[in-house]
This record gives sequence, structure tokens and C-alpha cells, in this order.
Amino acid sequence: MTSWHEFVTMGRFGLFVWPAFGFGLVVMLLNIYWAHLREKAAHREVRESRSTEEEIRS
Amino acid sequence: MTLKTFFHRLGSPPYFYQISRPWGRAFAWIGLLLILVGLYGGLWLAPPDYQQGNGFRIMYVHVPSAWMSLFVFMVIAVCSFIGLVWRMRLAYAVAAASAPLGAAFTAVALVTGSLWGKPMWGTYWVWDARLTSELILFFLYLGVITLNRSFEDQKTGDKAAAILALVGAIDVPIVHYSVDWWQTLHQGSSFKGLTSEIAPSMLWPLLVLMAGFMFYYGWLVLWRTRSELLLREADRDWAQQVIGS
Amino acid sequence: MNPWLFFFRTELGISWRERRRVMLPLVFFSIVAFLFPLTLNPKGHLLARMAPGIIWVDAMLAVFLGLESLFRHDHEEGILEQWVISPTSLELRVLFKVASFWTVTSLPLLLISPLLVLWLSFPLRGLGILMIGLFLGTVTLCFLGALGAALTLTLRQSSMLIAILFLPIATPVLIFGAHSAVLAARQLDPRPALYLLATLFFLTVGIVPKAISAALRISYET
Repeated sequence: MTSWHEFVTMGRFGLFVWPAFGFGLVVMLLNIYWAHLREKAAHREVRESRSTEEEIRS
Repeated sequence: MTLKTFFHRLGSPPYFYQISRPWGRAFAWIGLLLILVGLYGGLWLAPPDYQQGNGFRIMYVHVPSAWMSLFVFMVIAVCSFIGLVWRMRLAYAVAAASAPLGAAFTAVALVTGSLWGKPMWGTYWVWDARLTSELILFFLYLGVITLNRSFEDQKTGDKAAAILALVGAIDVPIVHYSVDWWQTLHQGSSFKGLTSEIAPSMLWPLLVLMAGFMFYYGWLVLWRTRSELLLREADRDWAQQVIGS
Repeated sequence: MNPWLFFFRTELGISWRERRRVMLPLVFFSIVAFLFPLTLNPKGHLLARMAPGIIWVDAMLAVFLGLESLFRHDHEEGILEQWVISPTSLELRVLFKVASFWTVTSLPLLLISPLLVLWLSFPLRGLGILMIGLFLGTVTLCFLGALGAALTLTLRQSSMLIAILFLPIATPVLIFGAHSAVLAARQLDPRPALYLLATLFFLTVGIVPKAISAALRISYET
């Protein structure tokens, strides 16, 4: 790359290069968010199973 | 500690839960660093391709995702085998954690491949062997994920998905070969030319990015596996202890 | 009488009693095939060129149609559970079960395929190859589909899931199968495609009954 302008326009391929990288970035960030959601769901499951266990004991 | 006892202990969920945390954190930072360096090298330093201009740079996201989509399916198939043969709980958890990640990599590979195809081949989609087997792979991922989550008893889901993953692992190369065979019958080899010799200044960012994607996957798969283990063993003592009130 | 032959005959008899199961795929197969000439330009060339693809996709859909009910009845009556517990080979039972399923649902398709060949103006000289291909292909498809049915055995509303499992795995069969017919129609040597199809046939018949048995077993493990 020789200039910012060339970097942004990617020659004449900016319309294809940037959406490709953008999509990749979005999906990779979504992966992190989904992993977070799954962790929350797992923690909830563990807590719920504890409360039912305590109910059975009492 | 010998290697054998290490693997033996790794199979125990509480031990895995404990040690996977620092490993995951390390993977995340290494992955981020490698991806940033790779992107700098690929998007800025590498010279434009003499045939494809700057369009070839899509390679730096397409090739690592396509590679990961196959690698993750291989991981799932190996874990499925281990799970079915040795009944190792951790293996099923790793397979279940990997499937959504693999599907995501496959989606990225498909979309970026289309975006690359438009300026290079003049069309978003061609039915060549690579694109078609990638699409089939995506459907297989969806099948594995759906099957795994369809059953009331998670153990049944794990085993069913494992069988599908093993059959799928045999199927993907066959699909690739069959489309390849069909292509040569019809169009000849008009889509080649992307596999030509690649200059070192273009190659190293690609290798760095591939390594970066591997670490990124390593981080997320450890994270997700911890969740999968908790979901599978929610009522065990160790899970109750790990998740304090 | 050989006990396995007896088993096969019993299975056939049971399927035959529910004749609806035989007729439905057959009717479906013909209706789909007759929709194409009506929606495409029915004049010759285009139709003849598309005929192999139409017939093969049509055959696959017809096989798919019957899959959901393949193990359903045996599962609900507890017969499958007996099979799983019994000491005789589950793989062999599966093999004969799927073979009888094929005889009842797909063999009729093969027999009326000459009719479709006429409707879709597929060259008659390719008929023999088409039927050999359809024979190899539908058997393979039945086994692959049976795997999907076995994996989703205990689920309700399983047909959508079977589609997701079955259709991607069935792609190579369709590719080789349809192209054996294309080659035959163009009077080229269809043997490469047929050999590849036969390879898939033997691979599937060899491996998939084992996978189906494993899938059936996990439904009854606790």
C-alpha cells in the first residue's frame, strides 16, 4: 500500500474486500457473544438444579 | 507427570474446568496479536497481486476460515469417535462446543468466497468442488447442531450427533471428489489460477492469520466447552462448587 | 427355510399390508415428474436435457417421503427394542429391513421409470442405463435415509430434521446417478459414472447398517 486512499478503495475492489472483512469481523464478534450467552445459560442451569435439590431436601 | 496421566486427568471435567481458564486466556491474547499482525501484513504491507490487484486480499479472511471450517469438522469427528468408543464425557462437550464455531467459520468462508468470486469470475457463485463441498459442510454443521439439541436427554443428542459427524466426515471428501469429477466432465478447468505460486511477502500474513484463527478457535472452544460441561453435569458437586452463589 | 429369508418375507408382508405406503411414493413420483413438462417449455430439447436431473431428484424425494415411517411402527410397538436386546445380529436385521423398505417403496419407482422417460422425452436408448443407475442409487439412498430415520427415531415431527440430515449426505449419489443418465442419453460411455455409483453402493451397504444399528441402540440406552 502506498496511500490511505489506495487502502480505503483497495484499487477498485473496496466494495468486495471491505464487506468480506466486515462480515468476518461481525461473525467473529458474534461468536464471542454467543459463547457468553451459552455460559450464562450454563450457570443458570447449575443454579436451578441446586435450588431444586434443596427443595427436595427440605 | 507423564503424558498418559495428563490425558487421564484431562478427561475429568473438574480438572479440565480448572486448567482451561488460564489456557483460554493465553490463547485469546496470542490469537488477537497474531490476527492484528496478519491483517497489517496482509492489508497494508503485501503488494497487490499482478493479476487480481488488491482483490486478492479477500484471501486473508477467506482461506483461514475455509481451513478452519474443515479443521473444526475434523476435531468434531475425532472427538465423536473418542466419545463413542471410550465414552469420554469431555469429548462430547468439545464436539458440542465446536459445532457452532465451525458453522460460523463455514458461513464466513462461503460469504467471502462469493465476494471474491464476483470480481474474479464475474459471478457470486460457481458450482465448483470447493464451494459446493463447503456448502454441504455448512448443512452438515447445521444437522449436527440441530440433532445434538433435539433430544430431551443430552446424552442421546451427543451420541446421535457423533454418529452423524462420523458419517459426515466420510461424506465431505466424497462430495468434493464427486463435484470435481462432474466439473471436469462439463466445463474443463476454467476456475483454476488461484492456486499459482504465491510470493513470500503475500504468504507470511496468510500463515500468521491461519495461526491466529487457530488460537481464536482454541480460546472460544475452551470457553464453550466449560459451558457444555456445566450443562451436562449441572447437578454434580464440582459444578455446584464452581458456580458459587 | 433360512431364518433371514423368512424375516425378509415377514417384513415384506407387513409393508404390503399397508399398501398406502407403496402407492404414495409412486403417485408422488409420477405427479412431480408430470409437473415439469407443464411448467417448463414442453417442446423437446430443454426437457430432454433436464430429464436425468428431474428423474433423479424426483426419485430422491420419493425415497425421502417414506423415511419417517420406516422405523416408526416398529418403535412404537416395541419391536425395535426386542431387536436391540436380542442376541441375533442387529446389523443384519437392519439390512433386511431396509432391503424390504426398498422393495416396497423404490422398486415400483424403477418399474414405472419407462413411463417417465416417455413423458420427459428422454432418449429411449438410455433407458437401460437409467434403470441400472436408479437401482444402485435408490438402494444407496434408502440406506442413507434409514440412517437419518434411525437418528431421529424418538423425536416427534422428525421429517424436517431427516431432510437436513439426509439431503446433504445424499448429494454424491445424485451427482453420479444423474450423470450416468446424462452420459447414456448422449450415447457416451456411462461406465465411469456407474462404477462410481456402484462404489458408493457397496460402501454404503457395507458401512451404513452398522451406523444405523448404533443409532438405534442409543435410542434405547439410558
